[in-house]
Amino acid sequence: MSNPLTDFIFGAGGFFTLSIVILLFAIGSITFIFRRTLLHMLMAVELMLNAVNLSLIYFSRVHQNHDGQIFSLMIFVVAACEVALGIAIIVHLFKRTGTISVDAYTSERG
Amino acid sequence: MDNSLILVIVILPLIGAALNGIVAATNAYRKKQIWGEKFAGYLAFSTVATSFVLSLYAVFVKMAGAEAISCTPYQWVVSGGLKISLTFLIDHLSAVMLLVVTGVSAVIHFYSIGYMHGDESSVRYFSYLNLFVFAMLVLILGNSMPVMFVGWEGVGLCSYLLIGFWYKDEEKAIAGKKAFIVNRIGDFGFLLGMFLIFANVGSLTIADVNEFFHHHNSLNFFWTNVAAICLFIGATGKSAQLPLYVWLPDAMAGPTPVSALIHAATMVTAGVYMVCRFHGLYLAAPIAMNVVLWVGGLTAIFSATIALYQNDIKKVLAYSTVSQLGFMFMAAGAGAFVIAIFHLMTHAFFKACLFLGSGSVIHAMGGQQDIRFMGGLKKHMPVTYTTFLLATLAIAGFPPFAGFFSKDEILWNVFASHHGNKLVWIIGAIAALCTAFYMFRLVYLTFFGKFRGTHEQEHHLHESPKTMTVPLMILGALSLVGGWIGIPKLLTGGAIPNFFHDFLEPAVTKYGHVEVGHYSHATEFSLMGLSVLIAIVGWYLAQAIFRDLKRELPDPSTYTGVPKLLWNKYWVDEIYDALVVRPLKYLSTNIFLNISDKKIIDGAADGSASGWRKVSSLFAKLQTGNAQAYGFYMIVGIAVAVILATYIF
Repeated sequence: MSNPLTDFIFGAGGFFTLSIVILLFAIGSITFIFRRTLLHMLMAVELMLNAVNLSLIYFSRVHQNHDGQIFSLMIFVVAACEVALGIAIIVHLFKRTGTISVDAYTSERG
Repeated sequence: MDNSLILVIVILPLIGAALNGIVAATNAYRKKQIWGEKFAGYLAFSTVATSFVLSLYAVFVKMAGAEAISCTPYQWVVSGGLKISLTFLIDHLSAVMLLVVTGVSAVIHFYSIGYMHGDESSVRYFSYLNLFVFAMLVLILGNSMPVMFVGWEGVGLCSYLLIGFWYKDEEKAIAGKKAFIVNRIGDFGFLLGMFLIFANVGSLTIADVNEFFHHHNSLNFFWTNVAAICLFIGATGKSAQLPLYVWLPDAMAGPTPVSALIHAATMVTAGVYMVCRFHGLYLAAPIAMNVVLWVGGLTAIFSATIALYQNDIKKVLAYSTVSQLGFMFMAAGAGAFVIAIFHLMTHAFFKACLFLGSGSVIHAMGGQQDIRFMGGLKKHMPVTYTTFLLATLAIAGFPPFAGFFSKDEILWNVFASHHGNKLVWIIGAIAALCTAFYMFRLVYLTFFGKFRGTHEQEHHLHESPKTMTVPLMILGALSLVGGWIGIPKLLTGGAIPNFFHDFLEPAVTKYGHVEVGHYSHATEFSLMGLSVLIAIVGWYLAQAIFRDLKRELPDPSTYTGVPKLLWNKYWVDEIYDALVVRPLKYLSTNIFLNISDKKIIDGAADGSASGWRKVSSLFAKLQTGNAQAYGFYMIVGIAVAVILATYIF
C-alpha cells in the first residue's frame, strides 16, 4: 500500500491532512465569531463540522477502524437537516425583521 | 386461626365507620344523599350490636373454662430484639370491658338515632362514633403496649372529633382542642413509661411485663415506681384525674350521647382498665400504688365539691364522672382491682343512663341546660324521670341498686386493705356524701317543683321518642340489677355466689394480690351501714333544701366565700391559664415565632436565596445576548480545557 497519494496523505505523521483539518476548523470558528451575517455563521458551523468529519475519517483510516467513517456519515445527515432548518429559520427571520444581521437579535441578554 | 372471631368483633365497627365516613364525605361533596341519617344510624347500630352479640358468644362459649383466647392476624414490627405482634387477647379482664363497651355502645348508638334526628351531618357523627368503638376495642384487646397505645390514641382522636362535632361553634372547637392537648400531655407520660419498661424488660407484651415485675420486684425499685407513675400520668390524662381533669367538664360541648358513651361510660375508664391490666407492675411499685390511691381520693372529693354548686345539668354530671373515676382509682390504689372494674361497670350503666336522661331533658327543653330554669318535668317526662331516678339512687349508693355494692366495696377496701389508708377512706366517705347530695339536688331541681322556664318551653315539653326512651329503660334497669352479679359474700353468707368476683379474680390476681386486714364482721357491717347512712343523709339534705323550692335560686355572681370558690371550680382553669397557657403562649409568640422562626430560620432561608440572587446577577452580565460572544466563550473554554488536559493531567 504505497503510492504517491497515500504517501502524501498519511506521510510525515499526516501533516498535510491534519493541517487541512486545523485550517478548516480555524476558518470556520473565526468566521463564526467575526462575520455579522447569520447566513455566514451557519456556513461557518458547517465548515467546522466538515473539519471534524475529515479528522474522523483520517483517524479511522489510521487506526484501521470503521467507526469513525460511520460517524462521519451520521454527522453529514445531521448537518444536512440542520442546514435545512437553519436556512428556513433565517429566511423566516428575514421576512419578519428585514435583517439577518446578528446584532439585531440580542433578546437573550441576561 | 380458629379465633378469628375476635378480629371480626374488632373490625365490624371499623367497616361501619368507613362506609358512613365515605358516604358523609360524598354527601357533602355532591349535595345529594347516597343514604341519609336514618340508614347511617341503623348501620352504625347494627355493626356495634353484632359486635356485642359476637362478644357474648366469644366470652361465654369460646372462652368457657379457658383462661384466655387470642388471635394474631400478623406480626406488626420485627426489628432486632423488638418483636410486636398485632394480637387481640380476650382474658377475663378484657372480657368484662369488651362486654361493657360493646353493650353500652350498642345502646347509645340506638339512642343517637333519635337524638341526632334532624342534624345535617349525622352521617359523619355515626362514622366517628363507630370509629371510636373500633379504637376502644383495640385499646381493650391489644395484647401489647404499642397496640394498646394505638387504641389509646385512637379514642383520644375520636373524643376530639366528637367534642368539636359542631365545630362551627368556636367554643366547642376550643373544647375539643383542649381535650386533645391535655390528653397529649398524659400520653407523653404513657410513652415515657413504655420506653422505661422496654429498657428494663425488653418486651412490651403485657403478660411479659407483669411477669417480669412479679419476679424482679426488688431489682430496680426506683425505676419500677417511676415507670408505674409515668403510666399513671397517662391514666390521669385519659381518665380525667388531678391534675389533668380540666378537659372533661369542657368536653360536655359534644353531643349528649357522646358525653354518655365516651366521657362517662367507656373512654375515660381506660386509665382504670390500664392500671388493672398492669397490676403485676403496680403491685411491685408500692409508691406508685399510694400515688394512685391518693390521686383518686383527692380527685373524688375535689370534683364532688365542685359539682355541689354547678347549675349546668351536664356539668354536674361531668364533675360527678370525674369524682366516680376517682373512686375507681381509689379501689385500684388499694389493690382491689376487681372492685375497681366492678365500679367501672356499674358506673357505665348508671352514668350512661344519667347522661342519656339529661339528653332527653335537654331535648325537651329545646337546648336549655341550666337547671335553674327547669323544674316540674316529672309529669311531662315520666320515663325519663323514672330512669333518671333509678340511676340517681344507684350513684348515691342506695341498696340494692348497682352503685351501692361497688361503692361500698371500694370504701371497705380502702379502709381495710394493706395498701389502703384511713384518711383516704374518710375523704372517700365525704365525697360519697357530696355525691348523694348533688345528685338529689339535680333530681329535685329538674323534675320537682314548679316549671321555671318560659311559657314557650313549657308548651313544648314532651316525652322523647321511643328510640331514646328504650335505651333509657335498658340502662335504668341495669342500674338497678347490674350490681346483683357482684353481691359481697358477707351479705348473703355465700348463698348467692359473687359471680363477678369469681369471674374476674383469676385475671387480676395472677401476679399477686393485696391482703385485706382482719376485721370482725361487725366492723364490716357497720361500715356498710355507714355507707347507707351517708346516702340517706345526702338525700335528706337535698330534699330539705330543694324539694319545694319557694324562692329563686341565687345568681352565681352573688356568691361569696366557699360557694364562690366552688362555683368558680377552685379557679383551676384560671390558675392553669396563668401558670401554663399564658407563659407558653408568650414563649411561643415572642421567642419561637418572632425570634427563632422568623429571624433565624426564615432569615437563613431568605438570606441564602437573596445571596445567590446577587451572585447570579453578576454572572448574568456575561449573557450579552450576542450569539457570537457565546461562540467565543465556547471556543476559549474548549481551548483552555484541551490545554489543561494535555499539559496538566
